[in-house]
Amino acid sequence: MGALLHHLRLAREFARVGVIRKSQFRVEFLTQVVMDAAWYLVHIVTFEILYAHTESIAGWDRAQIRVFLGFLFLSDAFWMIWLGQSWHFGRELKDGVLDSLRLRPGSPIFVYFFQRFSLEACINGLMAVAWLVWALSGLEGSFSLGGLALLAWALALSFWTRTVLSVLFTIAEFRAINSDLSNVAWEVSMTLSDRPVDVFPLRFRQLLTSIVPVAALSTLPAALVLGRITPLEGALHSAWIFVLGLGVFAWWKRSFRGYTSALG
Amino acid sequence: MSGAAVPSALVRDVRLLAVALVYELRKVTTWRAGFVVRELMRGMWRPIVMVFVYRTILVQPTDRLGSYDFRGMVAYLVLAASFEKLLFHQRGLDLSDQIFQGYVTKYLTMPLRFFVLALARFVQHVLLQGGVVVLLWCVGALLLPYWWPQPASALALVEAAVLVLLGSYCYFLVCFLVNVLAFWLDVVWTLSAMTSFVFSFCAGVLVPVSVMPAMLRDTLEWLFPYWAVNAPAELFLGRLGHADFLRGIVVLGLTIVLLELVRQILWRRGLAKYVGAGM
Repeated sequence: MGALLHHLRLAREFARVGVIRKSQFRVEFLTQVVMDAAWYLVHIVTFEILYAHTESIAGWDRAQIRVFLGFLFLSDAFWMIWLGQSWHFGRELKDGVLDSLRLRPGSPIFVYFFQRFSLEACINGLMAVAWLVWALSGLEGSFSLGGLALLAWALALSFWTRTVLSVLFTIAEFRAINSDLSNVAWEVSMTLSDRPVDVFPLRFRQLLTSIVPVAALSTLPAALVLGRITPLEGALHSAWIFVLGLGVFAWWKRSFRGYTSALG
Repeated sequence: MSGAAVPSALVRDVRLLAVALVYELRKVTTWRAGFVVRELMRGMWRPIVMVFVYRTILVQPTDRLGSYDFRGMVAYLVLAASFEKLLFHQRGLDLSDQIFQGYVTKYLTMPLRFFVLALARFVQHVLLQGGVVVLLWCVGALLLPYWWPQPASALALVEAAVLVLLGSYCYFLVCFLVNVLAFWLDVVWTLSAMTSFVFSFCAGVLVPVSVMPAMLRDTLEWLFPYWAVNAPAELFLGRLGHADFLRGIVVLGLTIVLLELVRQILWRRGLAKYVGAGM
């Protein structure tokens, strides 16, 4: 409990620094909000165009896809708000500038990955929340007590998976310095999570729900809230991804032990 | 500047371009794992995912999305992915990093135009990705002849290639402009990523523009991304004709002039406020 409070205090400090930094660059703040909004819009328009020609994509109707997109946007906003630093990991590992992680107070994973708080992404997060609430408002029982509990669970699953995948992909950089593998893996996984995993063949779908749980970013949370999977199935997926995450964090810490600033 | 000075400056730029090009090619092919990851698979994933999406929509042989059946859509996506590979990639330029870190000043003291170095990256990209695309197309045509697109005619192939190359240069200028914004902003990578995403949509990489609503389609046909990917793919397949090619040349030509003007203005203004101290 003490460790959790300590890391929450660190998160608050990262957020405070992030807010101060962004208050000095107003143009950049605006451009990033606009561009993220454009990213949302492109996704929405793409699916709306497809649904003008069909009623179902892999069993997902238009209303369900809108909920799916809500989770995709919120999950992305979480990554942008807290985990943007992971994009720079490969370069910083190569440049040998991670020594300070050994000295700072707190888990090196938390201190490194959560250090770049993005205020502008909070605005996009609000847009994503608005979209998800609108998408859910068309579904009966979404805002009942049980519905809200499912929603909180689904969001926690999505955010946890974002963190796990961000950490998982950077492990590749320890093995192949300056390979850009983590960013490529991230881009590929984001591409796969942009669509419901039900469009893929069975074996590939199983891979995306287990070993590399890209499905838990948006497909599984949406399926849980929409009742496409039962709470029991959701609990099993969540338990597995939680355990997987702990394993990934242990693997990362072990890899980091071999880090020296001369790696590059 | 005298009349003789202009050709000599041009010759110097061409020589510099050749030297920088060889250096860029050596650099990009030296790093083997990165070469496979970055160069061979670049731009392939999203079209592959879309093949699966369209497979769930175009189930029956009679199912259509606009004028596309599933086979036609796969052929279109193969071409769109191939042409997108030929488009300059944002990661090919690290100008924004150099601005942030204060490196740009060292180029300003050398007797060369900085833009020529960036141009060498563009030429390197086109040459390398051109080779990769030809290789992939040959392998695909051998392994999957039923699905692989064939050019409607030799003329269609040439016209498609011309439009893609001009479109790639337009996109290179856009990437340069986004990087130059580093003179004023402290982060530009998100802008680069989002620009790439919006470009892909406008270019019809995932959903052909002809499938889009009429108003959106009419608008996109006046923008260069459409003529960089979607139109070349449909020219290649014989869905568009010579008149469309000529219109594409006009749109891309005007875009290049406009982007070049903006590039020169932004570059000059950026340098005027630059102190070389990094951000």
